[in-house]
Amino acid sequence: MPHGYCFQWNPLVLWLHVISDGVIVLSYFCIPVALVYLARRRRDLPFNWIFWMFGLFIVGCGTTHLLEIWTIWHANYLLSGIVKAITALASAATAIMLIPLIPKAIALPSKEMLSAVNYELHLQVAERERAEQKLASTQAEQERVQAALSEHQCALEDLQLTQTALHQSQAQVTAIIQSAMDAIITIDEAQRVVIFNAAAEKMFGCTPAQATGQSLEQFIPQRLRQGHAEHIRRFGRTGVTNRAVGAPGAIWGLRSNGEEFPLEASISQAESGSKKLFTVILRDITEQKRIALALAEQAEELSRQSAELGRSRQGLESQTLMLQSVLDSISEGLVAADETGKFILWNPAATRIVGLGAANVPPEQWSDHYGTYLPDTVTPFSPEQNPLLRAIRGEACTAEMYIRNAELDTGAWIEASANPLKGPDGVAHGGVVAFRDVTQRRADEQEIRKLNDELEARVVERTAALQIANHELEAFTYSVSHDLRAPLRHISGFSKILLEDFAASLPEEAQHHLQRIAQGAARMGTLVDELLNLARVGRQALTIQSTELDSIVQDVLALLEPEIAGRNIEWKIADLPVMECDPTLVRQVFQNLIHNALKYSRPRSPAVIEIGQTEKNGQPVIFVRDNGVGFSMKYADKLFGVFQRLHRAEDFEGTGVGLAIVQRIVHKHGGRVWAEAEADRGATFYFTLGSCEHSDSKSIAAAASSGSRT
Amino acid sequence: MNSVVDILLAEDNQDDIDLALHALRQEKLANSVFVVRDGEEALDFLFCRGAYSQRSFTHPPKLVLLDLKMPKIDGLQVLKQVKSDPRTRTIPVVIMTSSKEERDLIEGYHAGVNSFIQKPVDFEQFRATVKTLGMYWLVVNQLPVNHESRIAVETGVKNGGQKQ
Repeated sequence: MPHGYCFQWNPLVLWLHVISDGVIVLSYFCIPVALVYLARRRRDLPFNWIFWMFGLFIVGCGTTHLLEIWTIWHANYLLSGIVKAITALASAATAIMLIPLIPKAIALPSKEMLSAVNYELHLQVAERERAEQKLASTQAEQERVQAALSEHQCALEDLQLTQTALHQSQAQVTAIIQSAMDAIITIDEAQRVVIFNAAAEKMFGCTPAQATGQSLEQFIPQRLRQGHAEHIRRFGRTGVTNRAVGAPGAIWGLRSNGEEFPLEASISQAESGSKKLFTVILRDITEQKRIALALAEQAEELSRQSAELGRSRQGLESQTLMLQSVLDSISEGLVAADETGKFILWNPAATRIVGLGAANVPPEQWSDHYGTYLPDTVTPFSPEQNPLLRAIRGEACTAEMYIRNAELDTGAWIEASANPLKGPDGVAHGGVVAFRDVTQRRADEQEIRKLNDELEARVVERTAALQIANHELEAFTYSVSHDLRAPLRHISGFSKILLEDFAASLPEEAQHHLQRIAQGAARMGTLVDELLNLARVGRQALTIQSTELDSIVQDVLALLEPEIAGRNIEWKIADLPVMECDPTLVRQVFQNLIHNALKYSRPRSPAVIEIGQTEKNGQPVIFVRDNGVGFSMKYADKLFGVFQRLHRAEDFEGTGVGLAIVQRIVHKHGGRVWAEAEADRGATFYFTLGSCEHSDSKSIAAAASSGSRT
Repeated sequence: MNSVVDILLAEDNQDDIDLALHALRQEKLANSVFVVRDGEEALDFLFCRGAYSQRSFTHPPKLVLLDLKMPKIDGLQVLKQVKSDPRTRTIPVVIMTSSKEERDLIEGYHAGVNSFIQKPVDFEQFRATVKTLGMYWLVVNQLPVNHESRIAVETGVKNGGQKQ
């Protein structure tokens, strides 16, 4: 137990001190709070500061008691002492300051004393106020009389001024009304016109004299009169000044000529004495409406145009895209530059062909940069010669160019075509050049030229050889014709002379042999003649002309008359076309074929010979058919050979040259000849005249004019 | 030499001459046949020069049978000279040849030949041809009797027709 001795080792004593001190502390701390609160609230209290002093000294006393409790457990007696000393100072100061205050406090008046003084003061104040009031009312009366006096004088002057002003104002108003741009009409309650200005006259086509006193209704279209009258009445009743009656267009006026027109109107009412007057101000908005309408149309047109522009822009964009893809995909190189020589287009093909892309290089260095050379492959292209630069200068041109640079494995030949890029003003603003790689083509052309030269040389060579051969052949034919026939004639002649002149001295057998010699010579003469004929056909140049085959057949039949005479022959001759051919040679074809038909049908009676035409692969085919002895088709390949015969000379005379001549003539015409036959069943010979087209119109005409000759 | 010659036969081949004469003889036309063996001789005869200078233009042959293929000067040359000279132009000339070349025919007719005959190989035909020829030119055909007046007319025409 602390301070056991002092407290007699009795905890009760200890706790008696502690609790008592505690209560004192609490109390002493509360009292100053109350005092300070009082002092703050009642600042009017005299000697206010003494409450602060009391508070301070009581707090000091409370603190000493608090430290009493503290020092029981903590022996801090120095602090306790200091606190007590402060409390002592505060207590002493308070006591000293209180002493001179006592007499002052005694002198403070009591509440009753104060009430008496107050009452006395009230009485004095009331007396004073009464006197002041009396004085004021006298003064006011004087001022009022003075003011009334001056007021009357002013009113008199004003009246005179007003009258003058009124006159002026009336004139002004009339002038304003008459000169107003808007129609101004004033009506009375019965809607009779009172005022009708010049603008109204102009608007309605009615003079003021005519309008005055008349009903306003005459200026309103029939269909709107009821509503309008109602409107005016309501306006008059409610008195609401309703300006701008209705929206524009809601009101319609009626001119004296019956024309209706839109109006904008405002109405006001005024009372003149007992009368109520309404004034309407009207504005003809026909023109405004027209303008508004026109504006609306213009707006619509503008929006339409803007939509149109939007569409064309879209179109342009898609077109641009399309052009871009075209430029990217074409195989031709395409390069464009503006007037300063700056490249504005360089498509992928251009890069592929030139090996380089668009470079920011001045035009005078293009030749170096891209390696462009004249066709001699060594002289660089000068800016004067460069096709793109020429195009920029406004000149369309083409050029052949050789390109050799590090990017290209081998040099490239280019064919370029350049044109100026013209703006809408027609002035060149740059140029464009299109080009293609012709390296391969040049190589091919060179190869072709070489081959052509070789071919030409060969042709010349061959032609020369052919000419020599031809000359030899001609000489041969001539000598055969002349020299070979002569001895035959001699053999024939002298054997005949022997037979005639010396028959008497010759035995019969010798005469027979001589006859055989003469016959042999004659036959050889025929063979030689036929051979010469064949050679002549081969050498002869074609003279192509439109030929009526019908008339050729008729000529041939006339020529063969000696062989036809005395025979029983049934002719079947169809209409034949007009064809482009050599008439002399084709006549020989018909002659040989018909001659053969006659010859080999000799055993028949009647012999049937048919001459007609058919068609094969769209080409006319002419045929000659007989019912003669025919031949076996296994020998058909020998038919057209020279000196080839399928019959014995004893049965059918002949040299074996006729069909060879036919074939040669047909081949010369580019045609074909062939036969169909059967032994003992007749033969048919067909031929075409090949590429020598028959003329349709003539063939039709000929067919129409010639009847059937079957 | 100055006797009247009806036919002048220009032919180089002896066989052909023999056969022709044989045929003419048979047709009784051989009496007044004169044979020349080449073109040069034919021209000398017809133009009365060289070996034939004594001959006169007043007695020309009635017919010339001309072979084309002859030494020195060929038949066509002879024909051209005869037909281009007014003194000999009226003499009938018949070409008789082995060949039947188209170009010879054309050239012959261009030069004014009166007839063009290919000699047939067969002697019978040859004889028939010769007979026809002789009959036609010596018997059927009419020629001016006085050759001098013929020439005069020719030259007169050439000189503007002063002689009648």
